[in-house]
Amino acid sequence: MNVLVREASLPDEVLNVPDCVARVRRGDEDAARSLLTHLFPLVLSVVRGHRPRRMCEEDLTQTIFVKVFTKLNQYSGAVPLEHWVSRIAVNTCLNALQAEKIRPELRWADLTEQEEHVIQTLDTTAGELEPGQSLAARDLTDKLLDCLKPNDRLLVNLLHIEGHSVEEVKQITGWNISMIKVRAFRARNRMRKHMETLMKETTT
Amino acid sequence: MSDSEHDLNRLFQSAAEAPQELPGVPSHALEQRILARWRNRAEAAEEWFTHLSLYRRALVAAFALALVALAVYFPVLTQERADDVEIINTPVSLTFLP
Repeated sequence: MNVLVREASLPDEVLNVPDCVARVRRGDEDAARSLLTHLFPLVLSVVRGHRPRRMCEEDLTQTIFVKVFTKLNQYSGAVPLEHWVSRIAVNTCLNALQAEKIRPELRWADLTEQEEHVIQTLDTTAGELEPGQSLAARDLTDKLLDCLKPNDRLLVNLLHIEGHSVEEVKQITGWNISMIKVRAFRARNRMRKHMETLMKETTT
Repeated sequence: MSDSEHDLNRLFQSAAEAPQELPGVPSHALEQRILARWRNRAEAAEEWFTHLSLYRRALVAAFALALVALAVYFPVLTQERADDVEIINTPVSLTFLP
């Protein structure tokens, strides 16, 4: 079971998932409400990690849940429901990212004071960043990710921020392992170049 | 490992440690919106399936009707050309004689 599912879903004893799925298929709204509550943390964590900057979090969550409920008849039960849902959520986010055509070039002036501080710390020290800088580091990473293509962005996020293994990424995205590795390598290079440009701007 | 590679790793590590507060339950408004859209979609799908079965029945009925019509008119269709048609065609052919 992947990390995403492990962390975000509620324990199974809270809800009898197969029974609930069967009831939702028959159109039972109470069951749909229970399933929604059960899957909400999982879907929200995917949305938070992969949504386009300009898209509303709630809108994307709503789109994913409507897809899940309307396609529930196609769920065979061969994999845990959480895996099936997380794949739908990731694909929906990817589609939303692909629809957002503009990939802005990141400039020093676009950074907040805290993000500038993170770049300066990375440039001048060799150790780990302070725990207090993690939120700014996350925002800066998001801005760097925005410069990448949607698929690359998704990969870097899954591999390096959420800490999934290549095998887990394969399960989530359905892409083959060699493609994942090549894409991730190129995406990292692109991010590194963007970061180097920012660091040069610090010194000038 | 190059310096920039190391810097990128440090950035990722710190970003991954950023606290992320996830609300445990969806807001009431969001829940209502999702359920309403699901209901509408389900109704639309049901309507489509009702129409689909109607179209299917209409197609079967039309095919059956065509078969019955073919059966009824089969003897007429397979009948030899009557002589009266030949007689009517004769003057037309004659006008083209030199």
